Amino acid sequence: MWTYERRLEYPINIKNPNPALAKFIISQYGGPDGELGASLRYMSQRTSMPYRQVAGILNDVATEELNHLEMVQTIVHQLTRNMTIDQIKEAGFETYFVDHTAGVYPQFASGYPYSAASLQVKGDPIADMNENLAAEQKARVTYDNILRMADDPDVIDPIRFLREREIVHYQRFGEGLRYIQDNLNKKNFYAINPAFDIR
Amino acid sequence: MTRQELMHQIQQAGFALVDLNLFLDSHPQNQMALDYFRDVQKRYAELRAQYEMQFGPLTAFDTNTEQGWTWTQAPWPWELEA
Repeated sequence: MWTYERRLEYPINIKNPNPALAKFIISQYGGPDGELGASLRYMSQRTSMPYRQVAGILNDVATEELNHLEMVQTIVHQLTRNMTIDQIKEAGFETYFVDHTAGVYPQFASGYPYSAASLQVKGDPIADMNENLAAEQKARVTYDNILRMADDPDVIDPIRFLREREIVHYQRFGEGLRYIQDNLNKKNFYAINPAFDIR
Repeated sequence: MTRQELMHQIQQAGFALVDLNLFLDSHPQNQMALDYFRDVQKRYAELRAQYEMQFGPLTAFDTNTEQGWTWTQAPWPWELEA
């Protein structure tokens, strides 16, 4: 079970509202490579991971992704608090504002609502771990793209932290994949699915 | 106490705290609930300390590294209880 701790994983203090930035950073909240999908992917994969150590990596990365979900929510919140109607119009934020005001809704940058279609639980350790390696890289690219467009140091600093964590997760999943393969037939990793064929 | 008996008591005390937490969120002045929370809070902490000493960490941050990294060694809660 989970409990809540009243703190962010990394500090966020954004002084100036900027709905133009919130418009695309929201994608890391509920977008195709965002933190909600990341957490749900690893959380959902863990029960069909037959190696306890690798299930632990999935569990613990899923938990850290919830910290990151909270961080992205905080960034979007601080970018949209105290914004004026003129700032909303100037940023082209009207389409979001009319549906969600200054609330934080899990959606893609395009406005498409959060979709579990952007993640997979294959129930095969090699397939799932490769999915996760790709997911971390896609999230890293999204943060790189955000950094190309963000011009506020208060935003850039926590985004850099989040980007770095994608790389660390990629590294841990790579080690998880190696652990899985070390437990399989070295001449044919695909001879069986250890999540299904070993009872 | 066996591991299962101790876990059952942690689940009972833990659920009492979860429910009192919600009740106190909307009834922050209720003295009876506050007193009950304090009693269960103490019992919960004692049960957890006893469990972790005998059977390993309940959270990753609680792991006692004198026995190495035991966090990922014990069965996960979704496995069949031994």
